[in-house]
Amino acid sequence: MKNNGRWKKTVKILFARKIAAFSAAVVLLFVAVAVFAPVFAPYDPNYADFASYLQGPGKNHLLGTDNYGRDVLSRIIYGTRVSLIIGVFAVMIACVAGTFFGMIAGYFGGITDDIITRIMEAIRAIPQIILAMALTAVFGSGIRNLAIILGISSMAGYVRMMRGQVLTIKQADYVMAGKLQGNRNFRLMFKHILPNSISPIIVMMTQQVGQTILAEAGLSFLGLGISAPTASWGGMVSDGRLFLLQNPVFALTPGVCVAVLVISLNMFGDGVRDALDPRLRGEV
Amino acid sequence: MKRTGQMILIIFLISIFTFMLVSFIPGDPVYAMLGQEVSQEEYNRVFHELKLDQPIIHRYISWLSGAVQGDWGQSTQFHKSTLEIINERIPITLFFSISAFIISIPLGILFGVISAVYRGRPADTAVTLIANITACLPQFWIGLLVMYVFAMKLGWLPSYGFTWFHEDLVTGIRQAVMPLFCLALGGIATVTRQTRSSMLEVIQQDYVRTAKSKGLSQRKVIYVHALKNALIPVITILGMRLGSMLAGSMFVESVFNIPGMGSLFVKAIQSRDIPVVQACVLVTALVSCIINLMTDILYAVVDPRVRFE
Repeated sequence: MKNNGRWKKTVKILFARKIAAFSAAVVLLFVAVAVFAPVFAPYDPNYADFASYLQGPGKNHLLGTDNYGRDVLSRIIYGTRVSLIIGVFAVMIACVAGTFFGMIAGYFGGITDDIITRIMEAIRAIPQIILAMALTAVFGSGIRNLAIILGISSMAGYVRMMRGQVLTIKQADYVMAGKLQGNRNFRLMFKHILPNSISPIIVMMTQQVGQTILAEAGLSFLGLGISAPTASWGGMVSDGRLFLLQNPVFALTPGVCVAVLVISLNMFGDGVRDALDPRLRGEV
Repeated sequence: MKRTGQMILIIFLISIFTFMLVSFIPGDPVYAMLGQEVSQEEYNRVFHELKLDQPIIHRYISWLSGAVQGDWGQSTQFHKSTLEIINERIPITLFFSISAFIISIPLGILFGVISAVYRGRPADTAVTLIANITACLPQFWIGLLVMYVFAMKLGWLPSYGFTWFHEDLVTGIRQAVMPLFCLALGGIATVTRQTRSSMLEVIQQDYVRTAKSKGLSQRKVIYVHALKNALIPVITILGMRLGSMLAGSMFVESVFNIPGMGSLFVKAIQSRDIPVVQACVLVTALVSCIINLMTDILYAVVDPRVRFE
């Protein structure tokens, strides 16, 4: 990329703000925990020690144990993996598919635009979590399916944003010049229009990861997401709610993790937005 | 008028999507719905009932005409008509969503105005911080937390259940407090944030300065002149809010064991009760479409500029 300097400047502005730098550090911490889960976790997350079930926080088990005697802290650490993997992949799927359709709709216009826009409006009319739930009824859950389902159910926003971007950029002289040079449509789209609308896409992606993680936790809480025995934060809250009185830490800490991760991701996203384009403030 | 036409088109598309849910199921839909151990007669009956022996267009048309006439098929888990089940459940969900919605609007606007007027002061910092954090908390987690504190530790409120107010007012209110709080909280946070940002924009406008220099009181300037215009973008948010209240009601119903449409939907998905899943998706979509249309109309009423465009 030619505008290397611009990216450097953006990164510099981003980390100059204390909040953005701090939230980036928290997010990185979660990523590190997810990657090195086996190192951080004191126990095997699926090792059931029935002799010590539902213990409160103590010396052996920092956050206590669950109803099968599994170590809650280890399960939270492994749950980080699930949340981040699904969050990142779902957003990537939504972004790639949404950007593609939005670009086509905006570029070609006419009937193509009408069809894509109407379908996306129909998708938007169903609340995201309900759409995702209906899709799990059909496709089943599991990490891969969840990433795809959450990706599909959140792609309409990208289509809309990208379509608007293309409509503006299409008017620009350099696109016209490219057209007159005899460039093909797809070359124009990917070489000229896409790089010029990359900032709002990045902003939207950083802001969506948190929402997706929240949605995944919700689905797993309802028993429609990650199924046992794989550790996921939403699933742990759901298991733990039956034992709120015996060990409240078991049900409540995974929720705190979701909240802290999502808050940091959102603050980081806001930082990215401000760093990339001050005009976007408050509009996205 | 144009919006109504678009809405009908959208509902039509959604009906195709919900119908297709059955066809999307990998493998044989009859096995998926009834399990592998099903007798040949039963299989044939359901196969015929689902009209799988007919072309897909025929199936769609007969499904749609049935749906319009209120025949949404038989629920495979309750062995009752789907419409009957939905009719029992939806008033409860609508009660929670709409009440939480109504609670959250004035509170959200109030907090938003406070934080915009006291911009940069402690009140603003506190409101913004709390609103940002609550927007990120999982609803089911807030539910469990208040349940743990107020039902289990303090014992002030019952931890689950639902009673209509006309049956038993006191129990009904006591049971509804926590679910409503959880549902309204997210709404309050969003409305607060939106009101704050649009209020900040409006306050800097010339006509607000004029009103101030005319010698009007601070209160009058804010609530009469500024707020009226600041509310226009808030209305857009409101349309989406009721939709997410319906979605949030899934979690709240699940946490507090409330027999509404949300818990029905979850159960239907777990047991692959497709007619009920279809009905739930269709009803939710229908409700959110109607709300969006109402928001658009409200928009035109509040902002005459929209009408003249």
